[in-house]
Amino acid sequence: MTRQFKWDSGLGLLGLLLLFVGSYIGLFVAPAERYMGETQRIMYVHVPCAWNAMLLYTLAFIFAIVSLWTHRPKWDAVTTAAVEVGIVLNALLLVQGSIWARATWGVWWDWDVRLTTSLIMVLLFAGVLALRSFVHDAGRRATWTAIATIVAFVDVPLVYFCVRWWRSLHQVQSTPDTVAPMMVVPLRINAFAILFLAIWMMAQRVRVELARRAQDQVAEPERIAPIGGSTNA
Amino acid sequence: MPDGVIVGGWSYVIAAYSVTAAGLIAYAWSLVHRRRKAELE
Amino acid sequence: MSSERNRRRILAVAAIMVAAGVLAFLAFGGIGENLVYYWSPTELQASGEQAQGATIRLGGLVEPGSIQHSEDGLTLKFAVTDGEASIPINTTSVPPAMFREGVGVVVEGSVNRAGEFETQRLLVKHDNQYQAPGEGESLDMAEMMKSMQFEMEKQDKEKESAE
Repeated sequence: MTRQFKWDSGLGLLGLLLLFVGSYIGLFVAPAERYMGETQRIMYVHVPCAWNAMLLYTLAFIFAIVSLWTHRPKWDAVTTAAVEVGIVLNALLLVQGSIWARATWGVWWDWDVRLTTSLIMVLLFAGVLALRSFVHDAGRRATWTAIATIVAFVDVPLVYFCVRWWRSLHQVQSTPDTVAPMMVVPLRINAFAILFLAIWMMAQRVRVELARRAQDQVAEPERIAPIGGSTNA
Repeated sequence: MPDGVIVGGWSYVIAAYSVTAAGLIAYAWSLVHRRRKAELE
Repeated sequence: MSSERNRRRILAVAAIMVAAGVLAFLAFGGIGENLVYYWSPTELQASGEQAQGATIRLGGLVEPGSIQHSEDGLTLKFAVTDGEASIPINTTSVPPAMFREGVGVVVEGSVNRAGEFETQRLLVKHDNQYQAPGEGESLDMAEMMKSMQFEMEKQDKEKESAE
């Protein structure tokens, strides 16, 4: 089977290249931090994962509304893809954060509001995928996935704003003014690197979903055929 | 020991980057695998 | 088919409204006033003997000049301040590497009868400043205080009353 070169392959390769460049600058060119020393370099993967996880969840929220509105299979597929890739980045975020926390704060974990809401975030969206796997009818599956995604999204702005609204161990957001310029460079490069890789991953996940759906339709046409219809009709 | 500064700490950095690389590679592999399975069947 | 579509659209609107409602409740429902992650030294001092014995968290800056290691090196004493009140801390735990004068800390433990805060869980807070060595290392307590949210709360209140 010959596969032609797709747009997402190019984007994925660009993401990979940027990730190498950004990480190289972050690890070997950027200065160590005055107090955190070398351990601050974890920032160049931690913060891009955080930004992109929240971006993906926000996209999933928008896709879920469109999916519920139009009930087209492709919107269900992109919603699921955004949720799943978001979960991967969210999980990485928690592990990286834990390692960084051990080095700086002195503990692997603390029930601080930022950490707790970030953990709830990954659990909520994992719940969306779990719920999805229990529903056999494609139409209902799309409806429930979308509703669960919209409800789970509540936690996303909470993760962002909690450090301003409530007291926490985690510090508030930094700005380009509070970060040394040579640290901003690898941070931005890696942010785009992870974004491009995430889009590549989403594209693959969408293809998996659409291929599965086409397959189901061949296997059980009577069950899937009335898209959006209920099974007991 | 200079006060209040983390000395060394490369092991934490290596651990965090390794976990990130392993996670991204494992997920990318699962995607390619699932896609192949879904498209060939 | 069209009633099915309407049902889904009603579900979409309902789901968004539930999500927005929950978020608004959390944001403006005053949960933060009942559920405090750490107390400030002023709040702890104001509570007096009431706070004795209960497990609580205290947050503030390490008061410059207050750090004392015992001769056997096993216990560490220092004071946590918010610029107004100061609470003496007593611990046998090994502080994280970033522990220093003026840094933000969160300690978990309880106040003993002598009025000292006993803790075995000493966490060092970091602010949102990421700088290369040698930049702005002079100790500015007012600047460091910004890493503690009660300082932001105070500034917000001052802003409100000024308006």
